[in-house]
Amino acid sequence: MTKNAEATLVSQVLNGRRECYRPLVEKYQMKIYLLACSMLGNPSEAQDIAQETFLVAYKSLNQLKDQTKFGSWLFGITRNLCYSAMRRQKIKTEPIDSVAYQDIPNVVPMRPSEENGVDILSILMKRLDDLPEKYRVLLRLKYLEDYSYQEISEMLDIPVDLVRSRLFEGRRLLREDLDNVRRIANEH
Amino acid sequence: MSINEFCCYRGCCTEWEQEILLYMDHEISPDSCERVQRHLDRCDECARFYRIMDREEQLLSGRLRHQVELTTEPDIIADLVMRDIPAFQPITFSQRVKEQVSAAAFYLFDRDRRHYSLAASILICVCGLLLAMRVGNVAEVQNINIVRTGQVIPIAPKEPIFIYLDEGEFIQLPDDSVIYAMKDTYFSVNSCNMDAPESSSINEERSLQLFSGKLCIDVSPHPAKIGFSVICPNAKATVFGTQFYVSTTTGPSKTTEVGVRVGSVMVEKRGKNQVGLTILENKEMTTINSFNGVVNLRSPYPLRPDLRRLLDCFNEARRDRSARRMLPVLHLTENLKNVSKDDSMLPLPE
Repeated sequence: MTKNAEATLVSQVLNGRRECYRPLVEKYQMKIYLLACSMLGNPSEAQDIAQETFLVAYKSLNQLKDQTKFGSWLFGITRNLCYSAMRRQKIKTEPIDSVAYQDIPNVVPMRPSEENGVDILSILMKRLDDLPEKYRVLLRLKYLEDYSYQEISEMLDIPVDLVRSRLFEGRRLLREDLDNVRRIANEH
Repeated sequence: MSINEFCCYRGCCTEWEQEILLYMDHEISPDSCERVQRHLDRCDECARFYRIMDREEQLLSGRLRHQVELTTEPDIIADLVMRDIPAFQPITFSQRVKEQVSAAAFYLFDRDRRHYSLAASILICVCGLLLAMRVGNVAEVQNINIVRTGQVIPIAPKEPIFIYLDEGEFIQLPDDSVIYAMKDTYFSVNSCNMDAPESSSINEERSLQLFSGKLCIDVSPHPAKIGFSVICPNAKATVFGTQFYVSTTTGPSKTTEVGVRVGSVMVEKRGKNQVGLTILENKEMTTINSFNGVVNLRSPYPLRPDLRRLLDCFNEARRDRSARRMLPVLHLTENLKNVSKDDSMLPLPE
């Protein structure tokens, strides 16, 4: 669906054709849901946020000035709702140089063997959850649906170059942790 | 996966690190892609780094997707949202007039801000509009009743219609002409006047505007021989009673295809200082390409097999208006189109 087609649907909704809102919801529901998932890390809460996003957007549709930018506007509403939810629940995001990254408390050998094997996936998941929000959201969006840099840039309203550099930095941080884990595991 | 499998790739090809990550994300140009592939073939360290990173990303991706899919079903969002929203009440002309009058009254009678000139100008505008309507300068727009999914829906002339269903949609016009519009087709019904006198301009009475997408049309013959025209960005097809196909694309280089199953269609090219037309007969088609303001109209040639199959299927499905019956032939058409892509790239004779 092109931007012009979206604008047409928006104007038809504003003219009282409620059913024209469905294709717009169907087009964006997955992206909105995954964006909320990436920001909140809680799928059931993300579903509520996604639903609320479409309801809020519908109620304030007449405030949308450029109807070809419906998608970007929707992502903006989702981000604001997520930030409100995070504030409500006092979800904290820790800075990158916090204690959580210096000492690694969760390095527990899952399958003690001669190779000092550990469950790398659990460590990666934990490290991903502990990353600062700006890297965490980007990496989750990338891993969840393999969105292109352009799509992520539109969803988060940041330049494509910044998406590229943050993804690189985020992955580097995950790998740095793994280097530390490997060193500690070898010491044991 | 064991920790020990992670090699220390640092110090070897750190300058390739970012390139390899971009390569993994499919975000590099074909040239750079080839360069990275060549390097991966040569450098064992980087090849190992790539393998490990790829596996790591797949593991993370799989775990995250698993969590999301287990917890909820995002597809139900549309149903929940559509259940909760009321219909918008469109603003009518009388409501707009009322708004303007109340705004004028506000400026006129408010003690703190008596902007007489602004109030007077708003009142003058409203009075002018009312007078224009009274004397008939502003004509009442008559809606066109179309039948969509079994329901009669009044639409305003030139109101855009967008088709989003995978199987497309059958639409019946007031003159009993039947249109099958495929997914992502964007068009409008400009007029469908059945009461026009015989002497009137044929092209103005029954017309559709196709902005983008694909339409199959079965035009019912009009007793007064009023024509039916489909206007595309770079072409216009006029018919009197036939089954035919029109598709058009958007963008800087527009391509319109017109194919006829039964009857004849007059195809004109549209563009600044561009004149030219051709007549298509049974089982013929033509292509109109435009680029940089130059419109090329190709001479008629035999209808492509995929379009012939599509129109035959349309002829069968139009009786019960079942769009689902079109699905198998749509998939087949897409496949055939991919095969015959090279053929369409040939230069077009004038």
